[in-house]
Amino acid sequence: MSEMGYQVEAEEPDLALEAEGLAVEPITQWDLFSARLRRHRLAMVAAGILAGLVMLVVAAPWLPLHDPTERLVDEAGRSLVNIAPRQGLWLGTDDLGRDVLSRVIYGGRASLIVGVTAGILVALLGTLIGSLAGYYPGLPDQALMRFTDLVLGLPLLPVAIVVGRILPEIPFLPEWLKQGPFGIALLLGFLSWGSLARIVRAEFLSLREKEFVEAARAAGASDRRIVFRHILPNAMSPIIVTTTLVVGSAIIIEAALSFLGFGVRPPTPTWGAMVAQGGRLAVRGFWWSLVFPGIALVVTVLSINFLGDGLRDALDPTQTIERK
Amino acid sequence: MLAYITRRVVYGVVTLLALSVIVFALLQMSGGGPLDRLKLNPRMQPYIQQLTKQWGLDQPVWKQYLTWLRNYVSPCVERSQGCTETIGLHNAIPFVVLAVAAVATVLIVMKVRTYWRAGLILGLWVVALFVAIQNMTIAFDWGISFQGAGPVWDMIFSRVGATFRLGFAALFLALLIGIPLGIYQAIRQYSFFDQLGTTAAFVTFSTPIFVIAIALQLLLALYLEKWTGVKLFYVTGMNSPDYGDMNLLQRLADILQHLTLPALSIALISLAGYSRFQRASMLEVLHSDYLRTAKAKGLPRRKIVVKHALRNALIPIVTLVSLDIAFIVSGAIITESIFGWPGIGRLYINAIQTVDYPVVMSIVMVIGIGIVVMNIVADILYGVMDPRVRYE
Amino acid sequence: MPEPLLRVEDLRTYFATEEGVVRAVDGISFEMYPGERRGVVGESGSGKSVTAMSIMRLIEPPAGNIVTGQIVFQGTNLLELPEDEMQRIRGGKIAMIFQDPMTALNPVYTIGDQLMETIMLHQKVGRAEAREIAIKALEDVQIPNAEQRLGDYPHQFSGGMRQRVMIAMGLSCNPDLLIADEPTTALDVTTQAQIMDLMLNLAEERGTAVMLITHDLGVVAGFCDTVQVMYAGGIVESGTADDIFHNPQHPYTWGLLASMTRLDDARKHRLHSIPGAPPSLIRLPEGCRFRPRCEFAVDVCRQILPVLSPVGDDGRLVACHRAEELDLKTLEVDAASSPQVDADPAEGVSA
Repeated sequence: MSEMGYQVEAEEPDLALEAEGLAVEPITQWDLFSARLRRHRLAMVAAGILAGLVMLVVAAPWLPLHDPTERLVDEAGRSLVNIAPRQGLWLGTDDLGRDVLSRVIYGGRASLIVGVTAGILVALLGTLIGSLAGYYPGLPDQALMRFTDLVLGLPLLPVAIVVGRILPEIPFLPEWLKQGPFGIALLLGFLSWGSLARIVRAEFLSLREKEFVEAARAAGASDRRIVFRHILPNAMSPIIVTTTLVVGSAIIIEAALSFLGFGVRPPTPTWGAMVAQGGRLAVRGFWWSLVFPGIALVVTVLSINFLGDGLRDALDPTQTIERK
Repeated sequence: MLAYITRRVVYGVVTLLALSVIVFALLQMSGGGPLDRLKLNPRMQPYIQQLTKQWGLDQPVWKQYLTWLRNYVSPCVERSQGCTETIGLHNAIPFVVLAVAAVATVLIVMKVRTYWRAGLILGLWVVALFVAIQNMTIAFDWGISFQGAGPVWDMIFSRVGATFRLGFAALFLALLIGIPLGIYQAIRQYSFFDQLGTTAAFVTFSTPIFVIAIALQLLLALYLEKWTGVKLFYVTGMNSPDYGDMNLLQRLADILQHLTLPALSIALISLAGYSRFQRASMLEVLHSDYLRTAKAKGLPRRKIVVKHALRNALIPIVTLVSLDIAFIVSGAIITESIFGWPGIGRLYINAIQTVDYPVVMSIVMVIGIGIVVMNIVADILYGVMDPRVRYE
Repeated sequence: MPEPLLRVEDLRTYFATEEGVVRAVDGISFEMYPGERRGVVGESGSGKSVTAMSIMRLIEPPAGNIVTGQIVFQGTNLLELPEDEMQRIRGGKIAMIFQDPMTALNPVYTIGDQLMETIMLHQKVGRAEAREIAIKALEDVQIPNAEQRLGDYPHQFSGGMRQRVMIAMGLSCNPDLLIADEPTTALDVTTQAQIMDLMLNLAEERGTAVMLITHDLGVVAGFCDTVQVMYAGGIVESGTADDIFHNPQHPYTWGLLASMTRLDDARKHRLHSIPGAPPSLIRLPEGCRFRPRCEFAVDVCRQILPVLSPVGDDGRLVACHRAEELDLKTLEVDAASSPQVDADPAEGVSA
């Protein structure tokens, strides 16, 4: 009985009716989902690009790459500064003689770590707070939603800049949080769960009244069981879609922070900082220092957004534009 | 209606208080006090103690915060050296004007039920804001810059105009291009143009603003000049140095040459969002029952689109624009530092770099207040445009 | 017989969808005369509304297309008219009232605006005069305080009141034909009869012919002169209301009638229901479209699509191979005669 809530029962096809062309073929949710996602060819391409990027970034230490912080020199000991793309240095070098290809790949690490970590944090926080507010009406709901409004009301970038700036100076933080991408990821995660919490709460409010939840409650199911077996699985699609889009925006904001110098600190390469440096170099004609990290950034975020769009259509074909 | 607005204002104030506490606390966590950097300068040594006392840095943190808060909301007469005098009644003119305008708006929304009331309200506020700014003799005691750049109020008040110019230009461009684009795409759904627009919007939406800004700078200014010899746009500042010697036409051209690229950088991303949203909203209206009624009445297609579809499809965009204000402010922070635009965004970045407490606090609060006010304004506008909305 | 007001000939309206071509209206022909009240009956998806939309030429390409046919209104083929002339007919000579009054009015304009817009469009009068006509129109549909309510927005009216506004709007230009697409389905049962009475009385005063689209046979029985029954995009039977009700000749009509709740014989018989569901309009069955659900089907029904043809001499048209031989009138309506019926009540279709 507990399964009934969210699984479409496959009905025995009526052979007589089928012969007349009257029967409806049984289709499972999964069939519908994968069919709709496959129709989004762009989303599939995007998923492929992202998978490739993840593999590249994870495998980076074992690839035949220069160290991203190494200042390269030629056989005669002259430093290889601002070298245009050529064999062996496929994307050229920057003004300190560092390999742009290696820096773009290692920069992807920072971006993906920030995006994924912030995304996971947002999914957890947003789902937790949204479900608590949606399942316990009255005071808990009111208190949690006022808190959510408050977080949503904070101007994201100005606050993130302040935190990013002083993060390395906060005395009680461990070293790995101060300099690396994880600190920025946590910061962005804690600032951006608000909209997901609102969406999850709205889902809970409507699902709580549905017949299958009533039925489970009447059958004596515990709160925990109702939430985890009956409501949450049905609220999954907005959670997945929103989280995907949060990953994209976290990557953009991290890049902006690094661009301004308040994000992940050097010498760790990041796309944002590379674009800042590349902008200055491109003025002098060394376009490769700008173009490659810029393209990497745009293609990554674009892929995430296409994937999110495809998932939205595939998971929830009835969804229309959101008002308020 | 009044109760609704009051509630919104109370929420807004609570949000702003929370914002100030958070940022104040964060700044306190920064390594060392604001004087640490001054201590490095041997010539400043004698003044350290005096400054510590003067700025109240020897007080407990909560006391410092309360002092800051009290000063932040205390008006006083503007003086070259910060705030020293209290105010008289005549100084309150701008606030009285704004309050009158606010009350008048509420009355119009409640009493006037014609479709041109949006224009009435808009006109009212243009006049009210103009009068208020002209008569602004009040300053607030927002402290003195730790970097020795003078009273914070003066620093911000002299730069806020530049940011307004940039922000409104960006908003104007985004609306002017984005909305017609979305409408046209909806009317020609699935056409080549529609699909091109959708793809372009996706790409733009996924591009960070600093990438767009740098690309525009390089392509439309630097490379354009290098390849064609035409100097169409400038990439730094608001005006040329010889702005004072120009005639009116030259000044206008000079302003546009400086303004276009930074405004476009901010506008492009918003524009992509607006066109997507407007397209969806227009499509929804085009498939509505009341549009079918309009067709069945025998109205010409043009009138159906302009009178019946557009009016409805534009309503939700008001909400989007209000949510977008925060984005435009963020965009201004980044763009101003790329284009050397003398607004509060660039001031903010500079102040953050040196952890200039009073400046950082004040700018964060100005941005926060701006967003809260714009959200309330958008809510009221929504009600003005949609007769179904009742504030409860 | 006078000249027909409207003559529809072999109309075919198809929609292109991802699954295939939907043959929503597939070769229907009928005539309407001035002042006639015609009921168009059928289940949802039978092509009633698409017929109406085709007459108004409100089918939107590229998805929907009138493939072939003629719609001759007062001697002119509407399908050949240029768009601007068609606009003069829409709302002027042919008016239409839709099912859901809650969404059929534009929410951001006052009803006065929307009424006067129609009047000024078709009657070549100024604002002041249009206002007078609008007030008169609202008074005609018995809306109290008509003059004041002109300045109200649609959301300030109840459903029934909005439908009155729609009727006022439809009749304000004295059309020759009023198409009412399920005008009372979305309303409370108590207001349904009021609205229907009001609409038909006003139409009669003006000599307006009414095409009443409904799935409610009771409404048709009470208000219409003639009836056409539609099934899966085609007309299966048409004739005078009296004849159809008392002597149905098509098994589908018979099934519809038998499934009606009737106060006079309640509890005497179990309610009849037609087994199965209407066929997909993309993959229509070979032969007669009703055949898979028909209790009287024989071999010929499996192969040949029956044509709508005269039965008797009272103008009755029936599309059934066995129309002449079946005597449905005397058939005992009883659940026992159709054993499949009770197998799955959920699949039964109530009319």
